Amino acid sequence: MSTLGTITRRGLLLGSAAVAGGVAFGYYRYHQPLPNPLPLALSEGGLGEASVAQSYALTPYLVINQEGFTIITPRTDMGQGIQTTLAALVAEELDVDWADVQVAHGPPSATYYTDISASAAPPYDDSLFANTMRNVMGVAGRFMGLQVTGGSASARDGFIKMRLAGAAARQALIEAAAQRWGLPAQSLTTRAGSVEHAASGRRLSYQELASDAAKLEITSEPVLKPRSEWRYVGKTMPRKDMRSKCTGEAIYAIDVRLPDMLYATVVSNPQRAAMQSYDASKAKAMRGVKAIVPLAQGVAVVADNTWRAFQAAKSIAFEWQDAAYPVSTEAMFEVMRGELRTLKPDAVHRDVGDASSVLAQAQNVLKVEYQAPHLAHAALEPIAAVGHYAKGDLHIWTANQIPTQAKKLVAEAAGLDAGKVHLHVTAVGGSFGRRTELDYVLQIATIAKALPERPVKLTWSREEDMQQDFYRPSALAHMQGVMGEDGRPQVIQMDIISQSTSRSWGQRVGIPVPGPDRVLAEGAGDAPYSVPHHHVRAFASSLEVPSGFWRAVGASYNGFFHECFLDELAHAGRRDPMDMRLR
Amino acid sequence: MQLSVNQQTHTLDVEPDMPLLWVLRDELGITGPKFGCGIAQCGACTVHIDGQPVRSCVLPVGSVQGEVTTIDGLGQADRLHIVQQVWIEQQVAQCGYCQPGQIMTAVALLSQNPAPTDADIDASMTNLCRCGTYPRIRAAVHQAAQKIREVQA
Repeated sequence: MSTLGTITRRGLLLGSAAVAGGVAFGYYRYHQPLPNPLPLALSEGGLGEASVAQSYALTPYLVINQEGFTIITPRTDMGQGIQTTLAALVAEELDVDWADVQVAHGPPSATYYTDISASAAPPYDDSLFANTMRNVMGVAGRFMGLQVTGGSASARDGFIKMRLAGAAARQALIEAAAQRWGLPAQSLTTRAGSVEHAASGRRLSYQELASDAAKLEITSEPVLKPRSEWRYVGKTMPRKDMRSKCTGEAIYAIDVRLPDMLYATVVSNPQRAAMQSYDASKAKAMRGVKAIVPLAQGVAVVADNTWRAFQAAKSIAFEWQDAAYPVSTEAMFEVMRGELRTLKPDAVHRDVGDASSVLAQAQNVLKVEYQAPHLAHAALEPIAAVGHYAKGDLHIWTANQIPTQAKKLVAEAAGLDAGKVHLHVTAVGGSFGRRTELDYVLQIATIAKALPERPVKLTWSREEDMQQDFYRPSALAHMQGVMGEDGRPQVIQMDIISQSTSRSWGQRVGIPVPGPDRVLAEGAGDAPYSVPHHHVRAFASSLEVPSGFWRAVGASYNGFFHECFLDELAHAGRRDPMDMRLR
Repeated sequence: MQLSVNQQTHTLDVEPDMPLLWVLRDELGITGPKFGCGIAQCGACTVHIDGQPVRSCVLPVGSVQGEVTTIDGLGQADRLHIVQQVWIEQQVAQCGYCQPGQIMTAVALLSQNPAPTDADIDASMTNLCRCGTYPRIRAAVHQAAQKIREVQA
């Protein structure tokens, strides 16, 4: 019965979030109840440090047991501290001491969908996914149940949601105490994990009330504290992961250990195309090597020690298919230069005045080409994942920013029901966007399925990590501009070409990304300048270098292009570049 | 082959050229030292041998003579090393993956040089941090140095 009460309460929460967040569409869907994933997760063996016995999931975000309060912070913490932020929001309204709070990522679930449109607030930071995603995934987040960490959306998405989760649980605990004592709920207060009745001095801890509270349905909207009463929100909170990261106890994907575990590495085609053939006869004879598992673009070597797997991998001879793109950076720029002349623009991102006419008549036109190279994420923790396919269930421990989609694609690829795929999101040794991809999650699924009943840890070599990245794509811009008599830029015309990261990523991970790719022009189309004739066009190159989200993505090259060009214009007009910007 | 790690002796059956890091991580299950680059460049794998910092990802286990200390054995649960305490107080870590190596390097630096200058810290602390916590690391090393001097005074 406890879950029924919880589901209803969660439905209320989503409704509240929708109203409070000012979201007008999707009303119907908001009110369809989504399951509370926690009772199942608890029954399947626990949740972080929360033990199973006598644990009560009061909302999808809170487990109460004798050890304290485990707050589900369903966003991937890659170092940005989001799990501490989200836990503080719940703890604030729940009214518990910070020392009694533990955090856990929790299971992937549509219940933990991310409202990326929450990141649509001005001004224009919102790097990574946001600029493209806010249109698409604001809808998709809710309707596809996408749990995403990215786009600077986590805090905004959670700001009301997480506080309501804390407030709803607190309200249920107060009602449980009110019923126990036969007193009106309004006469009760809470303090540091207890409900109190000041007049009689009676007091019950949340733990003592949790089992009753889990059966209750709260009937009124939870009320959030006024800002003046905040103890945690807006304060610098000590991070929940700090101690374990300073003692070596933090468990990253690469540190997960299971009994009887094997150790694997992979070698994939560095040209990012098919593998034609391989000869692993030497590898198979090397000490500790247990299996060679063919993959789509390479092989996995499974051994009894990571170093032995690395050594064996080096001994394999491969024949690779050639890349589908030019092999040198210069040749890629040449392709893009040509495409600037032949392709239609993906979109016009700024169209102020009449830049082309003014340029055609102007005398001192400054023309510049800028280039930006490919960049790797190079997170310090190389790609790693642990898989265990046992008795028909596939467990995967890894770091990923799109866990619901990871689970879905793994289930499809492995031919399993989604309910048989269990993804455990670990601590992350850096990401910068790399872990929005699913390549390694699919690899570990294949490897684990090939070795039933044996846990396998996959660790990429650093070389593999660099070669098999989804890079910030190279980009090229043709700039034209004219300085005005008044010492300010009169015309800026900018043609940008790069690959569409949003579309190539969307294709890989099974998320449709329709419409123009705003990532191509972010940091330029939205540059905060008022120029009389300002024209910015973006072109999507046909190059097929694997590319993905990397920090700011478009703004990382466009900011450089646009601001360098302003400096060059200032120089041409003999102006101080700062003074020119301030005028 | 015998190896003493964090004051526990282990008997090993491994190739002498296996790097110490993989003996620690995969044979002994000591996962505090991290694998980052495999070529002694990033420092995530830093451990001590008789108090000296070494990059365990390239050090053949057969050449190890002396007591190995890893981040896991640096302090005790109820009494962390001063450097760890300061690291927590200063909230140094972000993703935290490099920090075991940073802390081991800092401990070794402070045992040689009780009052390092910024230049000393920059010269000794060559471990990489992709989150860019360098300013906090530097501040924490200074504070730890001061605390150690106070304890010893």
